[in-house]
Amino acid sequence: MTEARRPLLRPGLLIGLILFAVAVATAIIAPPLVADAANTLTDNRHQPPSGGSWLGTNAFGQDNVARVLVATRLTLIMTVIASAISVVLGVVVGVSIWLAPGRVREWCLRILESAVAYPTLITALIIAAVLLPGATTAVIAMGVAGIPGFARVTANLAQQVSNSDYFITARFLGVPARRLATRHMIPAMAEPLLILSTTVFATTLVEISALSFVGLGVQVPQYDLGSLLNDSLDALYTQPIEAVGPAIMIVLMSVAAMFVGDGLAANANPRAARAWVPRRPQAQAAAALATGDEALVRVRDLRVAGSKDGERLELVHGIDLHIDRAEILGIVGESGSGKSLTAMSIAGLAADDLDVQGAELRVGTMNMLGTPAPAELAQTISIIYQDPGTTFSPSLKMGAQLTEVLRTHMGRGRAEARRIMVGALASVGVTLPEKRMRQYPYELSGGMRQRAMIASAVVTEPALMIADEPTTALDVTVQVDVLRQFRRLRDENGTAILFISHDIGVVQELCDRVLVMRRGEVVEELRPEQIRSREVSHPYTRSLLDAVPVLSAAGAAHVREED
Amino acid sequence: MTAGTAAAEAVGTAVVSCRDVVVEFGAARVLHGVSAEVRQGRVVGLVGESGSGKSTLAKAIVGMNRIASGELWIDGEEVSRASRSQRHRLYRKVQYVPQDPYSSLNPRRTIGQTLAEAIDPVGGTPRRHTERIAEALEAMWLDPSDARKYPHEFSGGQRQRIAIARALLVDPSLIVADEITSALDVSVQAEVIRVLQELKQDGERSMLFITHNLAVAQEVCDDVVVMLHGEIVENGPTERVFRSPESEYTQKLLDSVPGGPGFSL
Repeated sequence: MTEARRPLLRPGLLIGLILFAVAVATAIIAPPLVADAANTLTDNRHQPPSGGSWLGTNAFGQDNVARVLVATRLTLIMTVIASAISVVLGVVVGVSIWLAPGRVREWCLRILESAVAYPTLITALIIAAVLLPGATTAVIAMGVAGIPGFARVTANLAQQVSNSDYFITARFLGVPARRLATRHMIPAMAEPLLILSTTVFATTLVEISALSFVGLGVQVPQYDLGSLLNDSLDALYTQPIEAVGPAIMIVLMSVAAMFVGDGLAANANPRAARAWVPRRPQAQAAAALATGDEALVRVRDLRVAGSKDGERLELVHGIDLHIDRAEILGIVGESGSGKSLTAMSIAGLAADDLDVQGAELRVGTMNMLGTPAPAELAQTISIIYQDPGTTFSPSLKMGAQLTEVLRTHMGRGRAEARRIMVGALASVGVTLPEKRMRQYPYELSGGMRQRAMIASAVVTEPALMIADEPTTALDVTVQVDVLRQFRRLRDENGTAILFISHDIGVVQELCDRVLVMRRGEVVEELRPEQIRSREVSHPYTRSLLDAVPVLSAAGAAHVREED
Repeated sequence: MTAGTAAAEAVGTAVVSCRDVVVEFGAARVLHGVSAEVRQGRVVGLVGESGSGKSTLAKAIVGMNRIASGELWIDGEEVSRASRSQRHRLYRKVQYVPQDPYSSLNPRRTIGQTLAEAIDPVGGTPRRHTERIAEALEAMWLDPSDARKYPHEFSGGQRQRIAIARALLVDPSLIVADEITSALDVSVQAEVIRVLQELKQDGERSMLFITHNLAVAQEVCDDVVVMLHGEIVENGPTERVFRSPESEYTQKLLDSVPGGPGFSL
């Protein structure tokens, strides 16, 4: 249903296929029709282009257009066979390497890499020079020369497949190597390999013509496009038009192959070919404050929509919420509930292809439906993401990244920014803060990175902190400590926090108020005590609570009762 | 150890047991001589935080990690002393279920094809094993007609149940489930937990259940092994470990669970 909507033939693919069909049709039809004009010797030598022969005639009085059309067949056949040799043997070598035992594999990969480093055309030239020149030689030379390159690519793809869980499982089930290759490995690689084959075809076409051009390929009386180019050399100054025919044909065929390859690639990954349409924000940057609205964040009727197959698909269906100053509001929900979309819309960071609308979307005095001033935005809202492993750039030291906001938006000098940051790191429990500033992100543990993230949020003294699953990637013992930092931030700095989580236990412990979301709607608003005592009214919330296993330690519970 | 027979006797009804198992990644030693066992019909939880070595141990048991020293006994046979073909047979008795339900099934093969491969890795076809596949699917609350579908037609929880079905079809002595509920939404996680509990009922299936979620471990496991930095710090019946942990670290872990009785911010 949805599949059918995807255009099967994109313009590029269509053009490529048509060009290719024309070349194939030429190769089939042309030789019997124009062989006479192409091969018969006449006295009309070196004729300029005329109505009868568009590209004139050659030194033997043969029609140049006819010769190009006839030569297309041989070039096409040679290229197809040579490419097939490269692709088939390349796949066999690449897959076998990955199915071989570890040590053999390492050796083979090194040998393969050395072979790849050697240019294919030179390899082909050597092979062609060793064997007797001729069409078969050219095909073998090009076919063999292309094997290492394709084998290397196949081995790379095979490596990805061999690391996937389903492949490992099949291997440990005892599936024989040959079946592993045909059932699991090659089907998984088929699509990229097919696309790469078109590239191989295009390069082989050019290089096989080059072989004939230098005289190591097709020999007289046979001729292909490359040898036609060679023939045209003799008369290059007197009859340059002779070179045009074969040149155009070679370019046309390789362009056709490239178009087909690009088209297939675009079909395989529709996202890569998607046109980017930026969202048009609303004009006014300042929010109209309703009188008496004390809340820091006010959201009324927030609707977020994406598009699927050209149709509008609403993901968040009219949410109302507010966050008071110094309040911790939790949003809890399962995947697809729209909790992250809601949070990112409040931060003004919804993806560009999403459509964000609402009656009101206000943070402080900023209208987040418009384009607030960057400096004000940076000082009002800070964000903490789920994965502390990807929030920092791996190539910059922590210090440079942590002090960035202080330097660019708050006008602090380098040294002063560093001093403030070191203090902040220490305050959130980062050990050896001075040293951490000089370290790269990978040198810190996940918990340390997430604390550093919180510290960088603290220094700008934001009114609102948006934390999207900030402790999900952390171990439980680290999580407690990071949660304590959130609590402290609110208690000491009066920062309001929007805390997104899938973990009911966490929001119940940390938040002042909890919204339960499901499928883009808020189904219930709860106080943490209500969650603890299970006084919930909505059936979804109840089922959610029932689904979560709760730790019950009889011993520990007794201790608490005695307290 | 005096002799092979004495060792076999000591293992008793353990389906899998490790003795001083050491695993090294290059120069780094990640398991420092771990000894543990899973007895027939028991579900043993292997809990710990990241870097504790719980997954490393699990993968060592199924043969995905090389054991540098120590012994691994599967069904009373020591793996390192077995011949190549015997070892292959032994490793088939421990079936691994990976964490990510989205990568554990080949997207290009039907569920029936995937399951048939578990029954007979060489010549298994869905047609030849229709009945067993249907049984396996029904045991995991799926419909026999699902065998004709592809993985993308199923939810994460359903896929995880299919992966368990595949492991069961091999009729293994031990199922090694590596964080199989961790990538799932809570309601889906609950469905997988219920399946596991049902599986436990007949008391025949032995399982090593790796998880970082203590509440889930408490729900599912008979025994719990707590790991820290490549060593076992606590090992005992679930009820006892959660009621009165002997190790300080276990206590700390328990107190760190939000919503749990010992938690405070």
